[in-house]
Amino acid sequence: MVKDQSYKTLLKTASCFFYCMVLIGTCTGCSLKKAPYQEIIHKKQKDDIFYSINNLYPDKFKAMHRVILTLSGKDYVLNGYLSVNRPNRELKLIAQNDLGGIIFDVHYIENIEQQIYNNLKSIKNEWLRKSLLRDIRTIYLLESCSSDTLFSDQQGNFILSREQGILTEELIFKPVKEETRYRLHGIRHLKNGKSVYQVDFEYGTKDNIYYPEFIFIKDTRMRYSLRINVQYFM
Amino acid sequence: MRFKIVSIVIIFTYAVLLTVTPVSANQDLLIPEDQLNQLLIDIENNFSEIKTLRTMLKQEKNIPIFSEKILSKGFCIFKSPDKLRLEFTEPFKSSLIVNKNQVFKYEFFDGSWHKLSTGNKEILLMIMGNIASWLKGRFNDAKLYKISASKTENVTIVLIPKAEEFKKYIASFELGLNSTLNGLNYIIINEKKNTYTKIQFYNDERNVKVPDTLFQGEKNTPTPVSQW
Repeated sequence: MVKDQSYKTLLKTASCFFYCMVLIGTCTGCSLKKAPYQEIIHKKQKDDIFYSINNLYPDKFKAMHRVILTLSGKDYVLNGYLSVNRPNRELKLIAQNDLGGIIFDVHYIENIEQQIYNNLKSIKNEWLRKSLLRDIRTIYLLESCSSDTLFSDQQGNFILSREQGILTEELIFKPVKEETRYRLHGIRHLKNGKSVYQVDFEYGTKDNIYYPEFIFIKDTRMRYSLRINVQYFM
Repeated sequence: MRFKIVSIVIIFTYAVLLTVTPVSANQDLLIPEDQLNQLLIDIENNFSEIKTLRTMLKQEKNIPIFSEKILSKGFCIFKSPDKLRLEFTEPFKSSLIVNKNQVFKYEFFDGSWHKLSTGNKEILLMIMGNIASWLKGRFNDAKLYKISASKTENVTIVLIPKAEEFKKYIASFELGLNSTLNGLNYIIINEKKNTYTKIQFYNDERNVKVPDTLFQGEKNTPTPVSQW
């Protein structure tokens, strides 16, 4: 009888603990079901992914971006004129209003120069540095790192994971059919397992099958999203 | 060594000429102020005959970081007094419609039209209002611009923004008129840092029937326009 009662109490406590965990998990946005990633130690596959990162874009190129920026529920259309020099780790960007007029321009060389010429009073340089400059650096100056860990998931994606301070950066690759290369389909920044920043790539089908034609960016912390249509000049 | 110096001088002179040509070429044949007012009245009278206008446009953008000119194509439809539609068809599709004091913006993105909730309606209305005024031949907005005109083959009107805030974006507008002074051939928008945009108009049709439905912005896609 006593044994039966203590068993019931134990069961009650265990259920209570389980519900509490579910509640905490739901409230913090942490999923109890972790993505079933499997680490890949195979050197050849890791090297192939690294090769895909280093050859994502040509060393030097220019691109025109047609951008819809959504901020606080309102849309703003910008034209971005971008020049990229990957070996120099250099970016130049001129952003114009839809109907002309320079809004801001940026000259960035990693660890050397970071010049922002901003015409808009309502947008601070610091915001541009943390948002749009970070976006183009994330997309165009991506490089491989020997400490990266490679995983595969159940959807057949390959995920390259790296720690960046308090964030985990995940690069999501898909193998290209009948080829030995991989294509970057997304970038995620995770904080405590929760996505705070996401970039998705959609590739062209006609003239341009190698480089992304549409790029979607969503930053949940800074509360903005970008829809970018890209035209390359190579 | 001497050859090198001469080459540098030639290249430098050429570069300076290229940089300053759009504005300084007009200064030689500047129309005196006493004649300018009459000219502006005549132009406005000539333009007042335009009740509707459909014109194709070719935009050429010169950006210092690009060695090539960036080309776009589109069209403009105007119905006097206050309906204007500016649409780009290449390389990116977009449509900007002004109907009285309402502004509608559409972008063609990833295979379909998207109606945008524009955050800078006042600025868009101001710019489109300016374009509509120019299409009506009204160039003299003394509050906004310092105006001058010059004549080489045709008349060119130069508008320089007065407000410092406006000057940050646009250094000047050059409006090239046709030989009969009743229409615009081109608009050059001189921005900062050697950046300028030239919009050329061609294949224009005046006073043809333009239905009001072309300026409706309530639907999720802009009303299609048949090619002319």
